[in-house]
Amino acid sequence: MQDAMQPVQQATLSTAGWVTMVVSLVLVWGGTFWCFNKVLETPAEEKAPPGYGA
Amino acid sequence: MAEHKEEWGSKLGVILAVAGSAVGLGNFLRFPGQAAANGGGAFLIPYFCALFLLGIPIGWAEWAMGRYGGKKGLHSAPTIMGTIGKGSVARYLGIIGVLIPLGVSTYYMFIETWTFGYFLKYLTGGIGIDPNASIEAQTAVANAFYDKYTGAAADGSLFSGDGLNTLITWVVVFCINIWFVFRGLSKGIEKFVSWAMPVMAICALVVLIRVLTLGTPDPAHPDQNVLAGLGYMWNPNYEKLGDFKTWLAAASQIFFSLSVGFGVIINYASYMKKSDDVALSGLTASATNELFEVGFGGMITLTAAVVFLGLSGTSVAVGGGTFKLGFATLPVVFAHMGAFGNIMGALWFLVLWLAAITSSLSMYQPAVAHLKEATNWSHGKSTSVIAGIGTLGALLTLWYSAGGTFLNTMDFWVGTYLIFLLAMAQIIYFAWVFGIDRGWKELHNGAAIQIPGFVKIVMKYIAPAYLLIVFIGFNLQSFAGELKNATASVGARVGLLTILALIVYLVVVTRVGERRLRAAGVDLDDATPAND
Repeated sequence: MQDAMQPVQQATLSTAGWVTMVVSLVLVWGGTFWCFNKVLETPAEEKAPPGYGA
Repeated sequence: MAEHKEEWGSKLGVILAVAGSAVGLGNFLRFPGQAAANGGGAFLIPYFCALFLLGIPIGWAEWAMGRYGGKKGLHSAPTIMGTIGKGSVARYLGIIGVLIPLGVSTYYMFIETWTFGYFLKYLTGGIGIDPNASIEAQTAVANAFYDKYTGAAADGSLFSGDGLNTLITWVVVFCINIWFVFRGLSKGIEKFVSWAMPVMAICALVVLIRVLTLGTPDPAHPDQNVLAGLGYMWNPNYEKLGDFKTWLAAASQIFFSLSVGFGVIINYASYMKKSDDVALSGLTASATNELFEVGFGGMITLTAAVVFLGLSGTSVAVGGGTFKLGFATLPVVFAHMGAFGNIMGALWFLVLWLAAITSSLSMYQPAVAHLKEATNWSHGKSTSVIAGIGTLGALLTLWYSAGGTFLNTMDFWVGTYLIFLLAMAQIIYFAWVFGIDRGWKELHNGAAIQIPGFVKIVMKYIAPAYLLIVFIGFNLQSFAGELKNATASVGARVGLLTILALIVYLVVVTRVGERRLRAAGVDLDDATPAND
């Protein structure tokens, strides 16, 4: 935690910096791949499953 | 209605078009600067909070409203919002949804011109920075080129001498934009973004790989390395989370980046088929924007700057603002990349140009749709009129280039302030007037995903409240100063008059359209709900 409270301007990437960066990158890369995969595998005319929007 | 029905060619087309509209220069230049100045990695906490509580939910509302309007044959923000909000107040508030993209287009294509001009310069040898000169000398050359190219020296300087280069480049950029808009939705905009977005991603990936493999290029400065660059951007300073300005900056960044409340999504979604998915489409467009912003912008810009300019040099560059960072600092960085510097520079400015043009292409479409709907004119005639209006606005931006007085006025009042207002109006009308239950059902009609139930609460209560708090904070921070700026120079005053003129034009066209559509028996107040 001490490491994480350092000012932003350090001469290297801190442990907290690594964690923040990796989590953020996994979120945005993973989220984008998941979305596009879902878009491409969904048939164009697919209707909502029963109960959707209820 | 219009001469023939327009619609998207594919579901991927509309997603890429909305994502292209959202991904702009802010993803690569503004985001890293904002993050570094507001807690580094810690900035990502309020940033993702704003994404999940504001950006995505309001975006979903806008997608659903647009498609609902499309079912009734409506394609402009005024008529769609009038339907959702059941009356004239909502309809005339909807004018903001045409004013924002049209107003922003007046200056956005000027900035797009810089990216295209720099791209051409790097293809033909760069902007004249001596790689062996000192950093100070290189920065001076880059600044001088930037000032000359953007007409910072004096108002009107782009209309004579060297400034004509910028003017001619602007004409080229403008014609490219108009050509694609003229060709229509699926043959123009969709076709262009379908290859431009993948090309942009590939180019950005190449630049990212190059930046991450720079190592420690100068042994005399071992502290200037890739990890130090990443640390500058990502090391969290949690103390900043106690500062309201950090939360405000994060919410603003999400807002302006995602293009929610901009007036484009509501128009684009209106051309979808009535059972097309909007839930997954909205999420995918947002995710794509985040990939470019966090995955590329957060990794490239500041890392490259720190590696060659050091921490203090980068801090100065960030303090200089978004444009200086992109157009005066990064050229110095490219000059240090040796033989590949010009290639990297060309690739980088190609990425920025593609980011800019995929956004600017979306800016005329809402105004063209509005005029077509109101007058029943042809697409060509409507596009020509809007292009004429856009040209007049752009000429004012080009003329008042010193200090960017016209540009800054338009950017604050149209491209910033009104976005808050429109987004607030949209989420309130959607959740409270159209009704959240009906809206939720509309959102899930044809949906490829089930949105978690708590998002309903977010859309009805949390997003409007969050937005209101951010808007109040934004006003306290900026309103008085910007109001003073808006009357401080001729360019700024002309900017205000231009906004006023655009409002008058949009009110008149909306009124004409209302009369025509009512006479044609179109249900503008949602007396009869549209069929699924």
